[in-house]
Amino acid sequence: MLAKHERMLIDHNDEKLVELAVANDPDAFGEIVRRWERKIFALCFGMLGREDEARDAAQETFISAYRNISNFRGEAKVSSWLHRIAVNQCLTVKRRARTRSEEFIDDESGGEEKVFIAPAHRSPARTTEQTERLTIVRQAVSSLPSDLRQVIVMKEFEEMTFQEISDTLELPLSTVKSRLYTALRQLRMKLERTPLEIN
Amino acid sequence: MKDIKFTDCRYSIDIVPYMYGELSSSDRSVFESHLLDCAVCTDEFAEISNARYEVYDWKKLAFDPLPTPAFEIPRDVQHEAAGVSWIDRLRAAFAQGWAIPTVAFASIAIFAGLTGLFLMSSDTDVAGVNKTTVPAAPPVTVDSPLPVIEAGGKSDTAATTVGADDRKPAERKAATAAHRTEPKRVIRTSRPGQPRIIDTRATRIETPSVPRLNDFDEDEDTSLRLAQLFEDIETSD
Repeated sequence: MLAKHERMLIDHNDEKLVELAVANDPDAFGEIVRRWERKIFALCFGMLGREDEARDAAQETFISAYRNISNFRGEAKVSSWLHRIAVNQCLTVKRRARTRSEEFIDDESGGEEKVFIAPAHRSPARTTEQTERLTIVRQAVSSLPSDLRQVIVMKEFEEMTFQEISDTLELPLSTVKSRLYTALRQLRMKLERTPLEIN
Repeated sequence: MKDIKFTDCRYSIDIVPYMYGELSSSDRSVFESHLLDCAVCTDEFAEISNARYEVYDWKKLAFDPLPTPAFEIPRDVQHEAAGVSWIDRLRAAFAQGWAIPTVAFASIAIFAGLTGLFLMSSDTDVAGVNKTTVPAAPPVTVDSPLPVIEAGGKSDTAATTVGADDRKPAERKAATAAHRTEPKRVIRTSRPGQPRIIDTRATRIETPSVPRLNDFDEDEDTSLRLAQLFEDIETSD
């Protein structure tokens, strides 16, 4: 059961939440984290390709956003702002990996690491939510046209390269990339129509 | 090839390859720099990454924990698909293990051997009964030459006359050899003076050649032949 204040935050848009967070509402930024944590994590995973690195990068993204929330002017969407922070974080991780030197990120908070755990992050309801999300994703993938679905399956399940898919399906390389892009776009729209998270 | 624009930005075509790490190092650097400056590509990248991660998570949670089942194609299906002959199957059976195929093969061989022996023994008995060929006539020694007298009673006195042979021994030998292949036997008939020579070989259809006294070798015992000749003539009267 969510607190009354938390229920009120759910009804606010992202920009309103930022305003509340700037006004030192501790729960407001938590609601922002809850709304975007999975998508930011997914973006980081898309950038880095590894779950552990993606998790760390997402964590750093929210930390950086919290630190700089007062600098948010509202010129872009909150999601875009978070996306850019996440991209920067991931590129930083990549640069560090390329130079093969690990630098510890200074904790400017003075040792007090704030972990923005969204409400009910580890609740038993999470398991149910996860099961339902898997079902939704499976149905969404199944509803894709067969030519788009097979490219997703070959890329994600069989972990084939674009060239391998191109050779297997006897399609041009650009067509394979285009089909996968189209498939992911359609999948995104289907998932947006179906809420994946239980409030 | 025409580049496909997924968004208004021309770099959007690199979103998917970059996400899967399949951009070249140079193109990757360019795209990363572009991401820092282009909100459209950044937002689009985030959306595409989100959709991609949902599929990834679904696979990780629903498929990866599943044990890989053990699939087995029946052997007859394999052979049928490969067009394998029975010989190849037999070889394959022996290639896999020696115990059972060896025992089976040995059993078959023993049975075949016993069957063959049985059949061979049966054939031997049957051959003695069912033989239709006429046994070869016992050879007649050249030491007891017999006069050839034509059927019908005509006697070739010239054939019975022992006359001098002016031919050389080698020539006489060659001529004699041509007549020696046909063993003949005299059978005394009821008609005196008219012995007939019957060729006992059933396959012979030609008129037996008439041996002449001159055909025999000089070193043969002609005296004995003459004696026997006179004896026959005397007894036939």
